[in-house]
Amino acid sequence: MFTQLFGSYLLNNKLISPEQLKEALEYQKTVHLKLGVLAVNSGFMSADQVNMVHNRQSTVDKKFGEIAIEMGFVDEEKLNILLSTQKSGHLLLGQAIVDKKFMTLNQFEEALNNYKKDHRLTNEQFKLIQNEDIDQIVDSLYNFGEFDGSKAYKDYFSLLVRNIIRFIDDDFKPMDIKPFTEYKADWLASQNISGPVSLYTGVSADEKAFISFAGKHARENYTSVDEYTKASVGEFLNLVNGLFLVNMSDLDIELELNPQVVEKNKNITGLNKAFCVPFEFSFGIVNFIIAKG
Amino acid sequence: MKILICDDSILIRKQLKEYLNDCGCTEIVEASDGQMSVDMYKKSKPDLVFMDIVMPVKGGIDAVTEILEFDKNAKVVMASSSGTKTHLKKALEAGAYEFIQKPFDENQIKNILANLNKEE
Repeated sequence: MFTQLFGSYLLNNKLISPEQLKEALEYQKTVHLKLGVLAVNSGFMSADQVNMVHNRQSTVDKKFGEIAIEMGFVDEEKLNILLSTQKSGHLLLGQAIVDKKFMTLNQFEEALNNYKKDHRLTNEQFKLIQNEDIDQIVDSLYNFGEFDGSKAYKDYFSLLVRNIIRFIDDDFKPMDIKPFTEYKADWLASQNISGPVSLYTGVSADEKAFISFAGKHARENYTSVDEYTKASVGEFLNLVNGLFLVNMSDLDIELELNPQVVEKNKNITGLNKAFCVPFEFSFGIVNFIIAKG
Repeated sequence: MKILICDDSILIRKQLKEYLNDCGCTEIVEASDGQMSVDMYKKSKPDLVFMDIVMPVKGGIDAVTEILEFDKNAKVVMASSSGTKTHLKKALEAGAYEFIQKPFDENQIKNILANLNKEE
C-alpha cells in the first residue's frame, strides 16, 4: 500500500507525471532493489554518500556494501539490515523511478523527506508505514479529530482498509476525508452498529463504480445494478462490520448489527460526526461513510 | 441430503449453494429471513440448515430456537460475519450444531458435511 501512497504523493506534488508513474509501476515488477536506494530510504546514508560509493565502485571491483563499510557510512549491522530489506521489496517503486531516470536519487531522497515532513511522520512511523502497518497508515492518513469515540473510527478504518486489500483491490489511492452534514448518494449500502459503540456505516458510489465494486467483491462480471450487485456491496459492508463486532467483542464490548440496506438516490442528513472517506480505484471512486449512530 | 440455506443475502445463498453442489448436495431449499426458514423447515424437514444471524423480519438466533422447539434433533449451523462472544453464546444456548464465521470457504463446508456424515 505504501506504493500507492507514495505514488499519489509524487503525482499530487507534480514530481512525476501520470504516464511516468504508470510506466514505473509496470517496470517495478521486474526491478531488483539496489542497496543505494535502500540505504537512502532507511536513512542510513545520504544520496551524496551513495553517489560517492557508486563513484568508488567505478574504480575498484568491490560490492556496494563493502565500500560503504570501508568509507564508514554503514557498519556490518546496518548492512545486514539493508541486505535483508533488499528481499522484502516494498521500495520497488522508488527503484523503478530512479532506474527510469524520472527522478535522480537526490530528488527521490528529497521527496521521501518531504513526504515524512508533510505527514508529520517520525522515522519510526515511516518505517511502520513502509512495512505495510495498516494501523499506522490509517493513523497518519485519517484525522477524524478528537472526540469521544474517534478511536473507534480509526479502528474501523484499519479493518476496512485491510478488507479492501483482501477482498476488493490493493491498487487504490486513499483521498482526503471530508466531514459532512449532508451527503447525496447515487447508490448507498448502509448498516447500523448499535451498543456501547454506536456507528452508522456506509459504502457509496456512482452506478458504474458501485457495479465494479460489487463485481470485484463477488468475483463476478456484473454489468448492471441488480439483486446480486446490491447483495455484494451490502455483504462487503456486513463482513467488515461483523469483523469489527468480533474485534470489539474480544475487548469485552458487545455490539449488535442491524440488517444492511441498499438504496438509490439517498440523501443522508442529521448525522453526528459524519465523515466521507473516498478511495480512488481504477474503476472509479468509492466513498465510505462513517458517523455516530 | 436435503439442506436449507437461510441468509438475507442472495449472493451468500448462491455461493453456499455452489459449494454444496460441488460437494454433491443437490437438494437445496432457500429462505431469506428467519421466519421463512422456520416455515420452510416445518414443511421440508431438511437434514441440515445453514443459518445467518442478522436478518430482517426474524433473526437467526430466534429462528434456530423455534426450529429446535419443533424438532430437537435439528442440525443448524450458524454462519455469520459477526461471530461475537454474545452471538456464539446465544447460538450455542439456542442449540446450534456449529458456528462458522463468514466469509467461509469450501473446505469449511466440506468438513461440516463430513462430520455430519460420520455422526450418521
